[in-house]
Amino acid sequence: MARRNKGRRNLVALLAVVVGLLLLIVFTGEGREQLTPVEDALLALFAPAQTAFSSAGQKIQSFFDAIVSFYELKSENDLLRKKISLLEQQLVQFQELQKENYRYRQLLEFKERSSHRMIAAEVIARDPSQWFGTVTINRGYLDGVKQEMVVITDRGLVGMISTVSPHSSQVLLITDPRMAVSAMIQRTRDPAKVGIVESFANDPAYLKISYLPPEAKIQPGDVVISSGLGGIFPKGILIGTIKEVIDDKPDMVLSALIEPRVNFNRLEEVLIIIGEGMTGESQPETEDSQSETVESQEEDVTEP
Amino acid sequence: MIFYLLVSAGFILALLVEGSVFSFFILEKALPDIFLVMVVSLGFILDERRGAAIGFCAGLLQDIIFSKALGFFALAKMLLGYGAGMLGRELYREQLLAPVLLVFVGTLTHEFILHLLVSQFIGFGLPVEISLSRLFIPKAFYNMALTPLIYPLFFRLYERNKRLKSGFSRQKGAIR
Repeated sequence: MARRNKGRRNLVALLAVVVGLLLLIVFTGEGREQLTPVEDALLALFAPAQTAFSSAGQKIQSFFDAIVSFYELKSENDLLRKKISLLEQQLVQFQELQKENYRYRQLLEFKERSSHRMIAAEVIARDPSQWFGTVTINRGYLDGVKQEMVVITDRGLVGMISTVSPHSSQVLLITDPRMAVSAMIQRTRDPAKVGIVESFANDPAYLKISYLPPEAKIQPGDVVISSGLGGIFPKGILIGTIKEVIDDKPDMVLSALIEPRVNFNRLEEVLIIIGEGMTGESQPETEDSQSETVESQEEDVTEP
Repeated sequence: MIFYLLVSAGFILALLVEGSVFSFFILEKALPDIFLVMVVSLGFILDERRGAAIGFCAGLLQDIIFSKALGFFALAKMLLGYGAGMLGRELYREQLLAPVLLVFVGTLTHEFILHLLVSQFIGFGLPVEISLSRLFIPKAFYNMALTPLIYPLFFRLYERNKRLKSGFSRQKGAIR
């Protein structure tokens, strides 16, 4: 009974406090002009401690923020690095494709202008030694390639097919010591004044034309073309330009250094002359068409 | 007496920590309410009368420090302390599960009371369904997670105090 009374008393007291607090809320809820002295004192008492704790809190927060932002930045950095790497790869691929496209376009334009029937091939390997000048291309006898077929680019003479397999062939470059090409000076085009173009032992970057008669009157800058007398290389294919006349035996024969038009170190695509006449049609070889070929080869082209 | 002094110190420390260090533990938009966990724990350990008194004092302190309007926290926490004390009589105080669940339910009740008071007397507040999902429930989980840290501390303190008191009484009896 006493316990029940106590419980009732507690409940009544609680209700009274609730009512009191509700009144307090009503009076203070809308805002007050002034705080009571007790509130003032309490706030003044807590303020310094709150400041200290708040500053500690801010430090902890900035520490955690720094950790979080460090990991965020790190992951972002990693992601951006990966993206850059990917984009760089794509850029290199794009530049390669652009250059390849340019070269193919040059070859195609040349092929269309030329009187010869040609097939394009890619250089798939090159002799790493400096002793021989050979490259391997991705066309073989199944593509119609035969031994001694002439290999050119839009820039000029490259060499001839030396060995043929089903899907690839080896090209003997004109810089190889085993090669010799009958050539003449384009300016004179005199079939009686022909020389032999060979590799130049002292500097593999150059060729040498020898056995030119003294009356050929060669001079630096003269364009050297194939004479067609050897039976392998058609007449009028550009070989290079005279760089320097070698005056060793002036009374007997002339020799000169030739700067080849083809950059043999950067050979990537070539054309193989598989016959006469354009796109499989037989066309008689005329002097005009040959000179047109030479002129088209002479056009200065600049790679992008 | 020592028990109440330590409890008061705990409340003051909680008040300082809650407003500063805990601010970076914001879950969604909710912050833990250590005061609430302490009031429920103490109400559950002690009884409804003392629970209500502790809730009233703690709430009033919170009102003074954090709000210009008085009575909101005092009323909500007093009712919470009273309720926790009533339930504490019926349940085992040694087990942690009951206070943990009580804190979860208590937080939701506390927040609903405050929502009601604020919307009635001041006239603002988010719609209750948004408040429930964004504030009340995250806060309830937060407080629930804090309970295993706070409740055993107070329970051991209370038991120790009780043992000390009974030992002192026995000593007094022996002297007589």
